Amino acid sequence: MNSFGKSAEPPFAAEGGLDAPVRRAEDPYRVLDDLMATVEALCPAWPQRGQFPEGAKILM
Amino acid sequence: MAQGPLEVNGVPLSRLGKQIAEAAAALNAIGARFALIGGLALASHKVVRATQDVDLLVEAEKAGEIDAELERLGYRCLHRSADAANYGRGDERIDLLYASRPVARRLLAAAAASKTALGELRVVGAEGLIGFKLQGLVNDPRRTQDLEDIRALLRANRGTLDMGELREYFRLFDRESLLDELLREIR
Repeated sequence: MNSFGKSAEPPFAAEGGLDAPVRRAEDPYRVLDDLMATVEALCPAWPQRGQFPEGAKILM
Repeated sequence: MAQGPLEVNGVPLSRLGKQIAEAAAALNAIGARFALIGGLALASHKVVRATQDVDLLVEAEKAGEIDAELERLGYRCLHRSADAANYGRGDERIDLLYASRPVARRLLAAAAASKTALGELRVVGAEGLIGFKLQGLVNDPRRTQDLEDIRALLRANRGTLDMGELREYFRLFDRESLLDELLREIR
C-alpha cells in the first residue's frame, strides 16, 4: 500500500539538472596540457629521474 | 628558429606543453623522425595522467644531429649510449631511445601523426607503448608507474589491442605470465 497521495506536481528530477552539452575533448593533448597547467601551478617537487642503467636489457 | 605553438586560443601552454612543442618543432626542422613514448604517449591511447617526462623514440642514424639540436636549445647531454640518451636543461628532461632494432624501427615507421595543441606529434601504437613500458619495468622493477600504465592501457584499449603483437613483446622479455595475470585482472 502506498501511503503517499499522488502529487499533481511533476517529479522534480524531470525538470532538474543543467541543459549543458557534454564537452567532448577532441585533442587529448589539450586535456593533458590543461592538467599540467594545473599541476604546475601547485609547484610539485617531482622525483629525481635516473639515467638509463648501463647494461640495460634493451630488446625493443 | 622553430619553436612550436606557445599558446592555444589565447591560453598559454603549460611549461611541459611548451617544452614538447619546442622539441617537436626542432626535431621536425632537422627532419629527424621521432615518436612519443612514455607517459606523454598515454594521452593518445585514452589514458591522461600528469607527467614531467618527455620520452622520445628517435632515429638512431640521426643521433648526432639530434644531439647538436638539443644542445642548441640549451640541453646538456647527461648520458649517451648506442641505445639511449638523457638530456637535461635545468629541471627539464628529455630522454631518447634510439630506434636501432627491428621492433623499434617498425614502431617508429608506423607511428601515427596527429595535429595536436602542442603541434604535429607522432605517437607509437598502444601495443608498442606497452612494450616499451614493459622494457622499463624489466630494467628497473621499482618503476611501479610503468606497471600501472600498462594496466591502464590494457583496460582502456582492451577492445582494440592486437593481442598477438602484445604477446610478442611480453615473450621478448619472458613475461608472458605477467600478461596473462594482467588480462585476468581486467576481464
